[in-house]
Amino acid sequence: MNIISLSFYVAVLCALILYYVTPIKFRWGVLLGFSGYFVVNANGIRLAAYMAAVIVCTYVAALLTDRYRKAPRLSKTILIIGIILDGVSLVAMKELNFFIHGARAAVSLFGSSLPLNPVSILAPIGISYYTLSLIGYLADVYWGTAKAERNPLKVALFAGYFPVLIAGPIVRKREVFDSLMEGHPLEYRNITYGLQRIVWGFFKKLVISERFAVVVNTVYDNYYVYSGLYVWVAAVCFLMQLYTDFSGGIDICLGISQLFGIHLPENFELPFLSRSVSEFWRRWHITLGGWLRDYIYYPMMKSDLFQGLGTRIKKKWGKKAGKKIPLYVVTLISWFLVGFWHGGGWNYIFGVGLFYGMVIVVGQILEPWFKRLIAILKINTECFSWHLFQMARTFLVLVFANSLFRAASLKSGFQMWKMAFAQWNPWIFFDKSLYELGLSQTEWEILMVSLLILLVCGLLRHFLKIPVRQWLGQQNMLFRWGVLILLILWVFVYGYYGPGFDAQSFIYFQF
Amino acid sequence: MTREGVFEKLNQVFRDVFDDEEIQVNDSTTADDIEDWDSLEHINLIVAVEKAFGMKFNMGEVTTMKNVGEMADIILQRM
Repeated sequence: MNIISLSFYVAVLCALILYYVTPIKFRWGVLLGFSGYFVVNANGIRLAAYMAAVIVCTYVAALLTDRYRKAPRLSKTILIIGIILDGVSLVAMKELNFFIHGARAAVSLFGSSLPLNPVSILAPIGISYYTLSLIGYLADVYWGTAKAERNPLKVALFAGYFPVLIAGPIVRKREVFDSLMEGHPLEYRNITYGLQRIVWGFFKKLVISERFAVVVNTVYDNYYVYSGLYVWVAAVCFLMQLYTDFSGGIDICLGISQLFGIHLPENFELPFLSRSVSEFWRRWHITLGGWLRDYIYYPMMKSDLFQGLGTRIKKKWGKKAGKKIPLYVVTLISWFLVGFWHGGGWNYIFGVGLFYGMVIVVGQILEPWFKRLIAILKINTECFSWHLFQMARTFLVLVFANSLFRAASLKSGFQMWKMAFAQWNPWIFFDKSLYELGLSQTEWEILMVSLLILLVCGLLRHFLKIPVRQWLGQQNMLFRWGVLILLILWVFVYGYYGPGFDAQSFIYFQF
Repeated sequence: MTREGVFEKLNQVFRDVFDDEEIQVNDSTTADDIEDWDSLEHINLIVAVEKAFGMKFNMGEVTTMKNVGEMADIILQRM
């Protein structure tokens, strides 16, 4: 089901009307029914049944984990079985080719070949999001931070709530469950804020992201003919495309959810203001970073295995090494998993995973030297210029890492960067060369003005410390409606949509 | 042990973990108040606190604890 299509919004409108005319107590049933319709429509009945089977397994595992709480070993065994089932259901659908390629490469080392070919599997929509939510649910039940739900249909709604299946966020039971189930009265503010957020998402996706996509596709699809600053331009364009595409998709999902009175957790918080890679991951795909921290990083760090490793290292190499080395190992494993979650290719594993882990670890190792250098050079680290330098440094790391994510393979990604340093061609900014990348001068101008609007709204958000919609809501009616109508017109006139537009191109749809 | 005693001991642990003799924690202290207290160092801190007080936090507490006040409450419950 295409979320940039009239038919989708007609269906949402029907669901909304049905939701608000149904007695409050049964409103969650409408959400479940519509989510079921959405899943069957998007996936077909077979994949919907696959998803339902995973939900049932998790539901049973959670109940048993809770029931045998007084027998910790049994409870833990059930938890582990549940997590393995969920994990396998995801890996089998999404990452199978990673293992097939690995097995083929391993066998070819011995001079023979494996009669096993990569497979093409259509995974259920939102599988990467609902699987992580279900694993989190199981762990929360085991840790006692969430109750095991007795109604399987409510677990199904928690996992399969349709806005979340589109592009996330990854939700936790304690954050959304009550809000999903309790039913909400019709409120003017939820409808207006929800609609505004959807329009804002359209603006990011249809006006900005789709234009950047033209430039990015031109360069990345023919990377062997571009060098020097063309590669830099394309890499920066891709980072901006990714941000406006993903955060625009999230705006649409959160906006739709707000129409039903349900507030989902935010997934972005002005990520380009980050002064370090660690901070970036607290502002970008926030729910994935939080999930990784709570369900992978902390349990691994606190496990007997890594605590024991720390003690052994401490005895041999001292206190600091004993503390830091397990931390580095767990950081790298966690980031490997983030990359792996994005896809079973090394461009994902490295570009949106290991590379960030390596930057964080190297940053930690070099920190004492940096501090010494800063002291020697007497640099003031509490001023705007230093913060700006840190933001620019982080931005460069992001440009590089995400370009590998976009490249067809890790090899072609590195080839592009080799070409980026092979030529110094600043004239492309002055001799109209950029207009030959698929966007005309007018199109570039629309893009830059739109980007400026995005930047102004971002800065407003940063300095006001409240959502811009809330600030707009405090203004006079003429100004409020004027801004909104201008935005809608801007999307209508300059957005890329209509026949032939493929909204499946939402980058995070595939996850 | 009194609550004041817990905080006194917590101060020592925090100073040791973060290598900063000036740290002074109270009920409302959070990771935002201490420069080096980030998610990377969180577990090192938790383990150091566990060792100092001879108790264990469960993972649910580790992931939901909001400030040092909540940490002290859990420590007092376990003692």
